[in-house]
Amino acid sequence: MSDNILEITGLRKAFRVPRSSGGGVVRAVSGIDLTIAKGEIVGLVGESGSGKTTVGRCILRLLAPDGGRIVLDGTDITRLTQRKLRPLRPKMHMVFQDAHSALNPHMTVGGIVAAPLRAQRTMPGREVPAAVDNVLAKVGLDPALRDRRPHELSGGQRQRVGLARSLAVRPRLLVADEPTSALDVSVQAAILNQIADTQREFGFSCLFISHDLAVVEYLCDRIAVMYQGEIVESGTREQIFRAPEHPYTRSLLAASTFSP
Amino acid sequence: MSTPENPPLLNVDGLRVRFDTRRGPVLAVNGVSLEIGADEVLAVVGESGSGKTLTGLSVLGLEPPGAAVTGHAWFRGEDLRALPAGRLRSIRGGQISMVFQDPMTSLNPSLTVGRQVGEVVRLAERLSREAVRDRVTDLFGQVRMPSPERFLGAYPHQLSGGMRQRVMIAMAIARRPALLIADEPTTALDPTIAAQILDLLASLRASMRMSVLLITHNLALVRGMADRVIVMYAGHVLEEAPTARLFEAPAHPYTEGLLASVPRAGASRLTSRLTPIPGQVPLLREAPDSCVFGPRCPHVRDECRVAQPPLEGGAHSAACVLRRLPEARKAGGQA
Repeated sequence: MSDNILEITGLRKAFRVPRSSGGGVVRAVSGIDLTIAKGEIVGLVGESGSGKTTVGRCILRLLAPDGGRIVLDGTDITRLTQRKLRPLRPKMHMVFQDAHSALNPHMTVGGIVAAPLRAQRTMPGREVPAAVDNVLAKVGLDPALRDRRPHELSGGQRQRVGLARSLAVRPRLLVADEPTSALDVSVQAAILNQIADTQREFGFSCLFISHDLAVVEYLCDRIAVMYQGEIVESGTREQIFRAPEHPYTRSLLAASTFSP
Repeated sequence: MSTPENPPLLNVDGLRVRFDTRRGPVLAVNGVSLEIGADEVLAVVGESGSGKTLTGLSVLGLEPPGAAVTGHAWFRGEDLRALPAGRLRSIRGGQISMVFQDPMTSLNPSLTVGRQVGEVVRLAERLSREAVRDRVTDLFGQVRMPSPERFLGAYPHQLSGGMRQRVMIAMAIARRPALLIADEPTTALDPTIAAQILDLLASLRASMRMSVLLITHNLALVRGMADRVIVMYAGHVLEEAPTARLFEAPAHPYTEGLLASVPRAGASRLTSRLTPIPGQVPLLREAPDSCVFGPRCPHVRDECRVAQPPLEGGAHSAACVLRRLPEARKAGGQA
């Protein structure tokens, strides 16, 4: 078994456009290679429509890839049926941008965080409440919030609940899709610290999808830049920020330090 | 800055906005005063819930239904808050215009963008159909739309977000306003497109000698574009400063906190932690009897628990009692 938690080769995914919107096919992801080593945080940056979210959803098999290979911790999951995928589910988890719509408004915080634990049956049911309190504390939430519902929480608290739900099953790979872009900067800083802290403690790998270069530079070890469905450049954070090679990477960097 | 010979273009004085909700009153804007000089860019910075957007809307009488607004907004000798509706409407879109965050909801989806911009042009002067078309084409050129004629017949949904924002800007500058209120004009756009739009706004304001009230949560954007900055929090102005001063020597602990929570260039999670501001923005239900930022402030002390401090200090002012106690602040910072 290799040192990589995730190995993607030649991943392709296209979407059919409804005839009412002009028809045709959009190639969202056209043949990308990406690897994530154990314990590594890899940033995936690019503008909206570049295909970065599609990559994240293919990894989780929330979307079926059209071609290529996705190998998770040594297992090729590209064509696995949902049933065969189920035992592998605890290995990977996703945190979404909009925690408000990602959390079931009818469930309590405790119920939301317990759901993946109960679904996976990795522990006896009577141990679940203690595990929930434990992971809530790990993401910086007062376990007393377990009886609240999402609408009673602030945006930052909701995103912590999303993180707690993902970390409850101790995934090997976390796919975080713009987890802080809906938050104010003072709250964003706390969530980024939390991701860094829990990564250090749990040692998971992470694909961090973002369009915010300052955040990516802070959090990530390596960075891949996507443009129109392809990865146009990838490298360590030093390489990307100090010596960008692709013109698109350069224009992204220039835009992030705007001054007219 | 304005002088007696050069009065401010816009002078907002003691603006307050209150909502009466079923759970009691919410004080969204609490005595905001600000001035914008001719040919000046003033940024109003704040996080969500700070009251920055409501300040911009209320100046133009565009506050949402249910808002109780008091205070004055003097513009070229007239109080916009006391004008008859007809007179206010003629100033809105004429001498003062506005650009919003989301161009899709600001444009009419069932009319071509050429026609929508043409309507604004025709408000200003009676022109023949051909003359309107020429003027719109010219405006599309000014906002740097490639091959302007091609876009005249396009509907909003056929345009990208950046192109839609260009259409909004064309509409906003159609009547050569003296003041443009831009509320998060690039927040919904991708970074490379946002940079182009900002660059466009900067060059338009220089060529048209237009003043801009830039409302944003994005400090980086302020640095590149504004002459002066006002920092808002919980409906109060906490600091006002020339832009460079704000970044070099922030005077209010909240501004310090905002600057410290953004990752610095070159910083890594492996070598440094970010500094968030603990807690969250309060929802004010009654006039504060202590500093509004006190509950989240690392320097908070007994003097802060008396009243919300007034904004003091001239060109670079802050609403913080610690300004008068610089030595106390250093000590407090260690705590």
